[in-house]
Amino acid sequence: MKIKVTINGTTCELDVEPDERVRDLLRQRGLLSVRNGCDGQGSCGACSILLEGRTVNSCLLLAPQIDGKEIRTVEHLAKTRDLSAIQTAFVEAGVVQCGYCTPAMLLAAEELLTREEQPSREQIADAFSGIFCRCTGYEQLFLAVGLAAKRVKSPTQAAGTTPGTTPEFRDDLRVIGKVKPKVDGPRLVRGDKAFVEDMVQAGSCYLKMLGSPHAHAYIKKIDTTAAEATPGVVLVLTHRNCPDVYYNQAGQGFPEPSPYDRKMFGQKVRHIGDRVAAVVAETPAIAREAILKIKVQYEVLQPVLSIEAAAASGAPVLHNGVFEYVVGTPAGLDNSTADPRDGKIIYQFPIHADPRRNIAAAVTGGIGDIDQGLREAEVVIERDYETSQVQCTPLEPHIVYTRMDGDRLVIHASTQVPWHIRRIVSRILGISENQVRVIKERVGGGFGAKQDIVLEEVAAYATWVTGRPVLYKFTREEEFVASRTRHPMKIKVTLGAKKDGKLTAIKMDLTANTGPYGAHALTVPMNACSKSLPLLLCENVRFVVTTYYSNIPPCGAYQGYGAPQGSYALQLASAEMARELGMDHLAFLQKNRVHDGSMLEILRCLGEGREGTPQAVSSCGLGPALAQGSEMIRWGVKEESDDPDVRIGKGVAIIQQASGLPGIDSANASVTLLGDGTFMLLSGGTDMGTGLDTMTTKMVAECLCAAMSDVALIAADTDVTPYDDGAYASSGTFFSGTAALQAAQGLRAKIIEAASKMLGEPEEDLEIAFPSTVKGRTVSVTYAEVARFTQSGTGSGPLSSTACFTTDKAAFPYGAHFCQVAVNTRTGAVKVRKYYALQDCGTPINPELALGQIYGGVLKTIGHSLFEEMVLDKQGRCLNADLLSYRVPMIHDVPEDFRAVLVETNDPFGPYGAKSVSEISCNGASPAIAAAIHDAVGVWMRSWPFTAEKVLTALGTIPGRNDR
Amino acid sequence: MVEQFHRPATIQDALSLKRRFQGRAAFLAGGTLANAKDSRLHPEHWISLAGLKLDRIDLKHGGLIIGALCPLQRLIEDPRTPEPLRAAAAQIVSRNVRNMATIGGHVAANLPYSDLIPMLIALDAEVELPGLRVAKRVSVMDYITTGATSGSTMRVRSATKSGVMSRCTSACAPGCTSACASGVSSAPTSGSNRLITRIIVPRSDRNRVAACGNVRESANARSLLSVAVSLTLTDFDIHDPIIAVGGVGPHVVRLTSAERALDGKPLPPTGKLAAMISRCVRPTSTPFASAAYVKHQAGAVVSSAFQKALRPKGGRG
Repeated sequence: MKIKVTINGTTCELDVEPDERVRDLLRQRGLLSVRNGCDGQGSCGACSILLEGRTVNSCLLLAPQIDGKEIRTVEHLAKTRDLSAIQTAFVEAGVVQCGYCTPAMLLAAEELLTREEQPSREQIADAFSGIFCRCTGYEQLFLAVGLAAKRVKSPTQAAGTTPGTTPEFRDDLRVIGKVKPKVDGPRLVRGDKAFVEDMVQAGSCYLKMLGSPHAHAYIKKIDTTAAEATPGVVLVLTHRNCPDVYYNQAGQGFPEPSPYDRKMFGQKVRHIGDRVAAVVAETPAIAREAILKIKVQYEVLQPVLSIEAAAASGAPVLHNGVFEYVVGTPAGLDNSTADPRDGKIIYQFPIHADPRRNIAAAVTGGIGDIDQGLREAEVVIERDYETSQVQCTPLEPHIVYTRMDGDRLVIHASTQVPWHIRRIVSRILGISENQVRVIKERVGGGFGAKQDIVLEEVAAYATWVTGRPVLYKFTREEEFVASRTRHPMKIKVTLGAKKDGKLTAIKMDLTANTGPYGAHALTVPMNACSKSLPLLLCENVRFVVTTYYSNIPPCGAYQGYGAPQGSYALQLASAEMARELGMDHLAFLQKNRVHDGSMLEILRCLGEGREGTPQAVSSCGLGPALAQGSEMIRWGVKEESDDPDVRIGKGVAIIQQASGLPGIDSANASVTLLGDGTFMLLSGGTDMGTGLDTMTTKMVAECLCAAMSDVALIAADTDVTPYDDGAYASSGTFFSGTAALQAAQGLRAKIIEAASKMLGEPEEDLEIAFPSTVKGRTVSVTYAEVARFTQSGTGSGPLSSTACFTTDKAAFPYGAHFCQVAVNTRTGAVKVRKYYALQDCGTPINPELALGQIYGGVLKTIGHSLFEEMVLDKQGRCLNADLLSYRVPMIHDVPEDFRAVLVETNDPFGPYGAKSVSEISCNGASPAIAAAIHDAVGVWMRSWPFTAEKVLTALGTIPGRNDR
Repeated sequence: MVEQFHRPATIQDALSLKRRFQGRAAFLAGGTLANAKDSRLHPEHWISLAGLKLDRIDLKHGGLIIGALCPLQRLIEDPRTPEPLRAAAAQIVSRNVRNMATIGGHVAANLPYSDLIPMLIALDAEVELPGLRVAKRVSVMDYITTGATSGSTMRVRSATKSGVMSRCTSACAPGCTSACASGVSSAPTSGSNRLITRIIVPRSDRNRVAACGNVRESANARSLLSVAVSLTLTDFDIHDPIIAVGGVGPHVVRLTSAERALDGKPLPPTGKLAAMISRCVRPTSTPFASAAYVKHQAGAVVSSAFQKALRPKGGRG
């Protein structure tokens, strides 16, 4: 049918289908800023458009509904490449992270500023109330809108002329520590082609997956004949015709600690949604139609859905196949009872697994003598904590687009680990790595979920065998049930202390549920110990970690990587111990916490699958963080509510993470001086919206005294840029940043060497100076002149420098989180009124983006603490596999007073003194909020999320439920 | 598979289309529910109501005549909208949704957790249903119960001060006036078969006040419970209270036994009132909330709504 519509000022007549979604219509017309995060539920707002000047969800509109209407998308904001006032304000405020929701946010801001010249905080929140952002924590939107309002009112006020809105650091440096536009910001606020879905070419095929309806079953028979005969079907894949290669989907450095416990398709399915068959077809509709024609007979097995069920005697075994070890085969390995339908597990090295008892991995360790420590203690407490399964929920679900380029395979990926994809995919396909190119596109939120290869290998194989380009994008439901989630854990903490509060013993006995496959089965649960134990100085420490397989949706990496669970348990236990001792919790922490220079012996037993190295703390901002935070929250001052039903409480937690994996990670970069004196930086670093590209650009610009605009960056393309392990373990700043810095330092030396020859002055008399100049005692040369000199027929050739950064040094970020909650004793509702996150990330390289990382991490984990939880039925089916019923935090969930504070230190090992900032932000909310709830109403919330129902149960108002 | 998208220009044309295609056709208003991926509507023919010019808000005899196609956000912004109704509409948190969703579509969807229907019931609102010759008005309560009723539910017509209502024979709430027989679908299906043209909110007594509240676990989560109350205050007594609760059955219910118990008396203390309300609802446990929890919260949120309504300038209807 015909409709007439005005899109971004141009009226056109369109022929549309009666059930065509406006979102799809606009994307087909090249308006790529209109995104899809919820498959048409209307819960994410990523598809927002302005319809007759009002923000609406275009996924909920049928094309005929816009007949005669006027529509605007973000593409209308900037008529040229110049940005509008609102767009510049967004970039400057640091509110553009992954950028997937940014076009929607911009339109909401435009609508708001059209009707309100100076909107209030409440009006701003209302304007963005329908748009989900997992990255930013929303807080900086208030700043962005304020900046935009000023600029809309005074268009002559140029960008960058609103100093003081974000703190800056390091007066001795020019761009490091300063608010500078995110290098990918303009592209993202314009809604340019940036994400994987934007790269799809006409004529591409679409991959759809048939997921298992059973949590635990054997495939007895599968008939794909009818599906294969469907016109337009290109390929059907099952366990019968997929590569016979075992691997793990975890994107970890080789050799991985995660067991190779799966094939592309198995004869056994181990969770609802597990792969049964893939259909590649010329349209999505054909693929869906063909999926329905696949006939499968299952032998249904009893599902195992909890740690207790997995550990029970006689429990169904998830992996009862053949076990092999590349090195370190344990004595007595017995494969005589293996069931061939279960396949195989290959271990790169022992991780103390016992799959026939559903144990995926185990590790124990410690320092001192725990029994002696407990004997020395005058007070001993033992507490049990439990965390539930939560989902990463990146706004852009997992997606990959694969195509052939001649005889080479090209993978356009939304990933944190391009090189691991190349390695794993090439191994599965049985081809060499040089036949595979992985291009990391902009990533619409990763949070750990995109550290794993959860769909790339299937599309890659389909393209490799058919030669056809293939798009494979998870639905939101698939993202919930087949992507990655935070491991549920049960953690028993035993603390011993003297009456004066000095800890004498710490024991963490941790069990974790990894789900059907062992991705990160050893390292995430272990990290719960290794990122929480070193915070408290104690001579006698022991940890016992056991991870179980089960039939819940797969677990894996999620921002914080086990530390949020470990921190919740240990920090809340410290609050409970302080209470037992009659001590102020803050005083207890001060007495036991780590300090600058503290020797961390515990690190010896906390390596990831290998022996670790003890190290002294190289920088620690905990002291100032605690001092400033306690002042901000008015620690020790009891607050009262006007509402007789409401009690106010305060809580605190200290937190840490790491900056990459010393001894395991490596990062590389190269910088080349171009003919006009500008630079081309090639970095392996994988920016998933965090600002890594901006950071590496700054490293080079600062080191070489150049303008940031003189540094062009290509990053994370396996054909073009040098190797990098990837963006995980908080490695970006420390590893990728240092690699870029060291490459720049190498180039600086070469520039000076060349300039010395040009000027006839000794190198030691030369220095580089801004802008892009080498100064001698008497004369100077520009980089452009140096480049022309070296590139001429008599020169030494273009100047370039490459650096590889590896280290055995650790740079720990620290933080103190304070909060104030209001607990309604009648309804059980917990409201976080104040949340102050004070974090030491060394030198904040990108202050506005660092703050955004903190706000985002904190709000995510406020969600985990209060309401997020995957709910499964007794068959293992996720009952809330969508953004609405899962309950992701939206802007109205932001604390009334939400502040992130950067506590500056200067780490000797970090680039320009920098340390990581993102993951650590996830570690404070649960223990701080739980401690605050206790302060308010006297109950300890030892199981997250702290729902109103659980609070009322803890208060004795309602009976606890035992039917779940 | 949608075959056709119809754009009738008159109500009669819309009704004709519906008669012609029967169950293969559905009315389409804003689309936030009908077009959502979890909608149970899969018609072959959409009958768009956009051309019927039903988006006006008018004052008539002191009451508010709201066109069924009036978006919720416009309802909120209109200065003539009574404050309690504005507050109820604002409980639908997403502005994107409020910009699209219409009041008629919302009522027609008849969601069990509706944030708006309880208040419409509390305000004695009616819906206008067009007929072949004349339009008829029925109370919102009657509309939602009729729309959700299966043939197994016995209905007894009874006149009350609040209008004509149907009495429920099931067990979601003692004295519930709704049709709550087991097996009744909570899917938003009813309204798509019955066209609403207007919502009429009658002028209320000067002493009549109303307020709403809800329970939700996060800002944008669906309401676990949604309630509205209205009452007339004379001296220290409350009269003709209406208590409408969503979230305890397949549709919003009225707690008539509690209403009768409260009528003509001073409002009991909060704890006593909450306990009374808790006894009046019989939710079932779900994986997301136990029955005990929902019962408790029903008492808490209804009693809070009463307190809110009685605050000075708190909830004038």
